[in-house]
Amino acid sequence: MRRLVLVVDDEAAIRRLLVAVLDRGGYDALEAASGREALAPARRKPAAAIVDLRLPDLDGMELIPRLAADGIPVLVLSAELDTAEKVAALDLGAEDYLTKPFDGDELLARLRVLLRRAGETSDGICRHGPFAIDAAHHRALHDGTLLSLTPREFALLAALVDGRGRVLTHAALLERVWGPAHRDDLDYLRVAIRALRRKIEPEPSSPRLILNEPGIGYRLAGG
Amino acid sequence: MSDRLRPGQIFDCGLALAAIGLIIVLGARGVFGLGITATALLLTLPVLWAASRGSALIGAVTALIASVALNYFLLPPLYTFRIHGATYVVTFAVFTAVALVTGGFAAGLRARQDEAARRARGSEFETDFVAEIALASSREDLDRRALAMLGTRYGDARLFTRADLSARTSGLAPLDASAAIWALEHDAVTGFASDVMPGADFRFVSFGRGSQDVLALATERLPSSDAPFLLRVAGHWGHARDHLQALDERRRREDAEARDRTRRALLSALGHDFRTPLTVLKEGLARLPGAREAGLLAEVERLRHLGEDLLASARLDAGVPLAFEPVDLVDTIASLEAQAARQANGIVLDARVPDDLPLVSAEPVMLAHLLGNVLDNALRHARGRVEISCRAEDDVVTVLVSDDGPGVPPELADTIFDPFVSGERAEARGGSGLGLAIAHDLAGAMGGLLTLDRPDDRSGAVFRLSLPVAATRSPPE
Repeated sequence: MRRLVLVVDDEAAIRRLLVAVLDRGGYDALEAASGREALAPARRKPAAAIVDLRLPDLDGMELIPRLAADGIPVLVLSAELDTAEKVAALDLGAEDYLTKPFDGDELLARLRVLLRRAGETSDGICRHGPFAIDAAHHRALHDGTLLSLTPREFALLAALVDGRGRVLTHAALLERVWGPAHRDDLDYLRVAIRALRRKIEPEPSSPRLILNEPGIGYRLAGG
Repeated sequence: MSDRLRPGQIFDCGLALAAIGLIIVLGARGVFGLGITATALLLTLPVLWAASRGSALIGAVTALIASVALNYFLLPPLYTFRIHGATYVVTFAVFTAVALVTGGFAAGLRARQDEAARRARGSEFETDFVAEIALASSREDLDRRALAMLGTRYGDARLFTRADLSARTSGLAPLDASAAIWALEHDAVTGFASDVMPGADFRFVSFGRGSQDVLALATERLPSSDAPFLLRVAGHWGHARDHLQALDERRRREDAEARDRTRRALLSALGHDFRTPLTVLKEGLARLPGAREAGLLAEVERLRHLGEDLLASARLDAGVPLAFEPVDLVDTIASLEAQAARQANGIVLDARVPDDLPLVSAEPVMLAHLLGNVLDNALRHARGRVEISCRAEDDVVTVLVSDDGPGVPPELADTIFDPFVSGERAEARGGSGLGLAIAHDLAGAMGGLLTLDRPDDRSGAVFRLSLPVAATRSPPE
């Protein structure tokens, strides 16, 4: 059965576009032109939601935590280059974002990442791409090879692998690795990411595995 | 003021003298069988009375008059000022001593009462003063109200500014001007009847350290003991000024923030109105057979680029504050490589970032836009190769973007960063003439600089971006 994706946007043209892209990707779409419609009980619970941050009745920001609370992963659409709005949406529980104008194929790739995240493996080992994190034994593997990481580097890589390709905000990574008091110490993160890249990237000055989203955060490539 | 006789005291003295006269007459006539000793004892009563109502001096004078009268009218030999026998001398001495001691006590008590009353009046004034200046709505209003109140109390109250005093345009006499400057610089009370330059006509009171003006009060009705009180009053005034200034600054800040919010909202709406239809257009064309071959997607991309340049330009013009953060150029350049892969038709991009390049301080999205524009220009003019290299020197990181194209003609070199200036075939190559101008402005807005290197041999163009290094700490392990 095709999976259902909720599309929340007040612009009919964007909804039509999204429906067409989703259809191409093998999804059914459930359209909502407003926040109220999005929250109306549906016959089938959507597997994911694509939400435009600009809605006429309800702020897209208000919609995110409600959908997230229902266990529906949210992909946010933003027409702003300004990163503050996206960071706020991610902080509220959105799983990822796309900036307009986006590419249909890119949207489908992000959606796949979002949906894969929902179904995790249960052998206690977290995997993404070439990486495997064995949290119980504090071991990180790269293509099956044991990596020699400091405790902070391990925590950082574990957080990224745990993200499985979705973007993790700078603040979220800092909080997870150094604690809530260091949410704004971006220089720590930059330095630690460099150190980690030296250990895992084939070419650290041209990174292919740990990707940066300017002003937002980092994500692990592919998978 | 307290040394002078008040009308009440004159009346009291008269009463004491009348009582002395009456007692002398009664004693001289021997009425009620009064002896000399009893009369002398009785005479201590008016002396005590006078001393307690007036001062020690009045007490002493009354005592002198009483003892002289006793001596003249009652002590033998009568009607002379001579004295016989030690008893009378002792009586007289005790008599005078009692008058002086009593008078002294009474006067001290009175002085304390006077001081307390004056303080009460002062504190009442202080309360009124604080209430009055609390009503002030602006700095000017505050000064006007405070001066009016002090003027009522002290006759003449004025303000002199530090600038006027140092430029000698205050109109004050030299001594007064010196006293005023002393008050300003030492945060003290100076001038008339104070410890510093007491010969001045005015009393000067400082508003506290760092104040730019000084309060001057006319000399009338200005007791020297008022100095602490005046400093307190000036302190209240100074605090009110600070408070108003803080309010003013907050109002200005809030206004500026409201303006920023409005601008941000407008820019955001503009961006939305531009990017949303573009999304539909782009995706729609991508589905259309033959659109890519016909170059339609490239046209949309060109349109997008132009729109982004205009939006960035609008954002710079609006003066919306930038959010700087430490940026790793490795990340920025990685995104450029992705751009080149999409854009370059067989042109090789060789980007090299040293391992230990310091982080730069920049707005990451703007920095990507800036370098994207420079790279876009290089890719459009290169023959086969574009190089990006970075290096750090002191507190500056330099990014060089060079191509192997024809280079910038000398006649264009000076205006290359002006809007709508393009190289010869730029139009045909898809340049809008805005990209480098906006890149230049973006660099400036981020505290950096974008310049054109001028190699002698015109072997391609080299653009040089310098950016400030970001403060970087090693993360704790």
